Amino acid sequence: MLKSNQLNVNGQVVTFKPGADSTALQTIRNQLGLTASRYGCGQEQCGACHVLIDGQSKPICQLPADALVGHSVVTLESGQNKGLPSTSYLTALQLSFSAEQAAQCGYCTSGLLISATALLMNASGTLSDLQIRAALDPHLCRCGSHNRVLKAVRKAALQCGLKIDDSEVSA
Amino acid sequence: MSQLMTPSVSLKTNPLLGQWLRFESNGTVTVFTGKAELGQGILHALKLIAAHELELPVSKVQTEAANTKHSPDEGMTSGSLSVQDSGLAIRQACANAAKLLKANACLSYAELLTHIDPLLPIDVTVPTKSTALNRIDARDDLEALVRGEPIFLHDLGINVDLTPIKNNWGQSNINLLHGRMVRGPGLRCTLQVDGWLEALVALQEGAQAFRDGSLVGVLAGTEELAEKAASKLQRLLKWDVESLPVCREGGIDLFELAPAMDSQVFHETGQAMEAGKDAKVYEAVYFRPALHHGSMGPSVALAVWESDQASSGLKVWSHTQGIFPLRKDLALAFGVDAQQIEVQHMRGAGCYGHNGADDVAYDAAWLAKHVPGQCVRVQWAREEEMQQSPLAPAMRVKLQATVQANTETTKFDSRQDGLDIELLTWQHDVWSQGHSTRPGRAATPAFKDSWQTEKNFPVLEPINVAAAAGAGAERNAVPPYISSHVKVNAHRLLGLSFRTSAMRGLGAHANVFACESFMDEIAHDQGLDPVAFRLSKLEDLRAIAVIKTLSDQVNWLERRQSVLQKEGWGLGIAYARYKSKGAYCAVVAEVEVTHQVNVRSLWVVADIGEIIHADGAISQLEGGAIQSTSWALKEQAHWDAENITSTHWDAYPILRFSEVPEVMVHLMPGNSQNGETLNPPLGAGEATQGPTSAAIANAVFHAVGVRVRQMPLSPDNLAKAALA
Repeated sequence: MLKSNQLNVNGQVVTFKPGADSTALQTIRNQLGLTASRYGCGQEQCGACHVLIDGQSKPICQLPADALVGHSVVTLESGQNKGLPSTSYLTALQLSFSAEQAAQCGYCTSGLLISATALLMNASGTLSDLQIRAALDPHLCRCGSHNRVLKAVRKAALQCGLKIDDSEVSA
Repeated sequence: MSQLMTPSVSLKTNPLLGQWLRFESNGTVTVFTGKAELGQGILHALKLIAAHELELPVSKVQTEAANTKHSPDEGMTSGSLSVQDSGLAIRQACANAAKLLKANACLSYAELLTHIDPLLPIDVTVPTKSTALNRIDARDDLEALVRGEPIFLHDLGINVDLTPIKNNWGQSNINLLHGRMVRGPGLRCTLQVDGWLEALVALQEGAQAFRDGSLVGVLAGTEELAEKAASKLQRLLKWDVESLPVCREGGIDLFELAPAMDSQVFHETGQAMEAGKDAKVYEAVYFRPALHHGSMGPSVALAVWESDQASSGLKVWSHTQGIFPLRKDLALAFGVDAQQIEVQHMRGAGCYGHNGADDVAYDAAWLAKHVPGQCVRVQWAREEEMQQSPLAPAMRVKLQATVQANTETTKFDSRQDGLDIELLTWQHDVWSQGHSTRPGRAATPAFKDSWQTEKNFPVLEPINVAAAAGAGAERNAVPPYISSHVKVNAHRLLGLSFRTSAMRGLGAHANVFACESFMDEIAHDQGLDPVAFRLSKLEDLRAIAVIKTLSDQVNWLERRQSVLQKEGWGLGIAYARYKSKGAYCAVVAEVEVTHQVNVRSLWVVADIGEIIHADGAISQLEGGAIQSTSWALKEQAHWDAENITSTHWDAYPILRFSEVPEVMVHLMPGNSQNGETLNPPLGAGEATQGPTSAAIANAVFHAVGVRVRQMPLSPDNLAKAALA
């Protein structure tokens, strides 16, 4: 049982100072030094700050840190922890993002990778292009790397043993 | 194949080998550049150029982020010029180094280190290898991005275990304070000083507040405390707010409201021929609203003053586009010598022009001046980024043309090709605020917040850079098409409250949108195919080649017919040569018009001269096309009587994953017609901005017969145009 000043982040128990930050994002970045989750809008409107909370991709720029107590939190820095169920999906995605050169400035990349990880991890069997776009729709990218990102996610999905349903028209 | 280069501007300003290269004892070579990595991958392209000339593997070459202490002064990273300016200088420096390596019979560059004087001027007569590079090596910085490593300035110092801060006098792990600015309720406001002392009393422990005139900021040990203190002061302080011009639709009537206007003939060539009886006069007015940069990461900066002495050093970490211009204006703002200041560039989120980076650097330095020896980090909130950053100005363009169709003497074929249609006159009038308030260009600082202080620095009126530098509002206002008489009038709106400045493409976006929509309108009215009509009015062989290649790639005539089989679908084309002297780019858009405009596919063909990093160039053109689609379909800044109100993404929507079109990019080969020499690189970062938006509007007309001349092509503007 974790204490009220303890969080489960990337499979490890860490201690934090409750009340020292206004948001969970600040706690994760400033106190825990996990800076992959980024501040973009503070209004849950851009997707740059997403982390996995109990396997679901969620924004944390308005959430108080206390709300994370008792939940499993996974950030982009979790790649080293092979024991996490998300790691194999995340690793496949990181490799395919790199191979497809699916970023320009890369500020939105962390959030995209987190949502794509949740999508692949929670998918059963087949993914459609529409499902991929829908999963990434909470995320804004200003540089215009969208198509490369979509391609990278499709590629990683195939590598993770999922099928891609091409029959749906992207419109 | 080797060739002799004309020295680039950057090389002329920085003529020494040691200004560009450092030979390391382990045999690797460090390349210096004054250009900033803005997410466009420029450092990677520069590295490829260097490795090629030095005949080293890419892994043996590293670049160093720009710093005013050791980087060559190359002004701004703007105008799609980094490969031309920095790249060609580095190429020459490396060619020289490679020659010296051989001449001194050195086995490695480490050995060369002992043979040469760092003050050696670069020999500009050494031929460069200049074989078409066209490298496809992946950007190695993407590895760090996908692993989420702390490589952004946003990550610096917030957790000292992660990224210790070193100041410029070597001290490490200095104390970090978080700063926030306290904003009044309006875009332009003056603080009522009488409430200041009472407000200070209410400030919680651990926070300090500072004021100079109407500029107010707070410092605290954590972001939480700083934010709370700033919002408390925001509530308690009283301000006089200057009202903004009441204005609709992103500035559509700014042109009537501007207190003053500076009208000039920007360009005039040829003489108007006498129009025959068949001549027809066309006229149309186009509009592009004010836009936001909308960088994904709000601006951030760190600053530390060495001491409270007048001679104190200042170190600033910034994601600016120009470390030297920033340093110059910081020196002006604080009344110190530029040599006292060191500006270190670190990457920020994608930057598309003059955003808040320089302003927040001033904010951090201003707050840090109150706490010498301590480092201050100021992070803007999203609202600040949208309200305090400069806007891309609203633009209105009126086009008039006299068109003569020589029907009597015309054979059917040449009429179809547009060959017997003459453009007798072409007049382009553009109304806009200036497109630059960049730092480094005036006698007083360009930082908006410095204008709030008691130093009374004047508010700078946005300017347009000279035609030789690519112009501002007038960029691409001169049409590429043959006309007997061409006249461009530029009307700069003065005295408006909005701070406007450079954003990707500057005036080219609206001017190309207007010119290319207008060409389409004339072609349609004259019963001509838009591709054939354009080709008949172009002389530049590279322009013609780009359009023909695109036309072949999309199978233009066939697809233009077949697309109409689907209800609401259409195909449109547009072309421009960026800045009239940069990259050639043609775009075809395929759209589906429902209650809104949906862009389904974009085909881009570009001639960017010599290709350095093919995948990087494709990525820039593709990203630019998607950003331009977003501008064309969705974007429009808005404001009320006091302030900008498009402060969040729900109020300023941009294109999302569910809406992005497919984009196919083709690069023309980089060699010249005879295949023997390379065409100089022309830059790729901004070429698609104008043609994409215009191709979309032309496709909408093809699809549903509605000519939308007002961007964005939103459901509202579409409906309005349909009823017009």
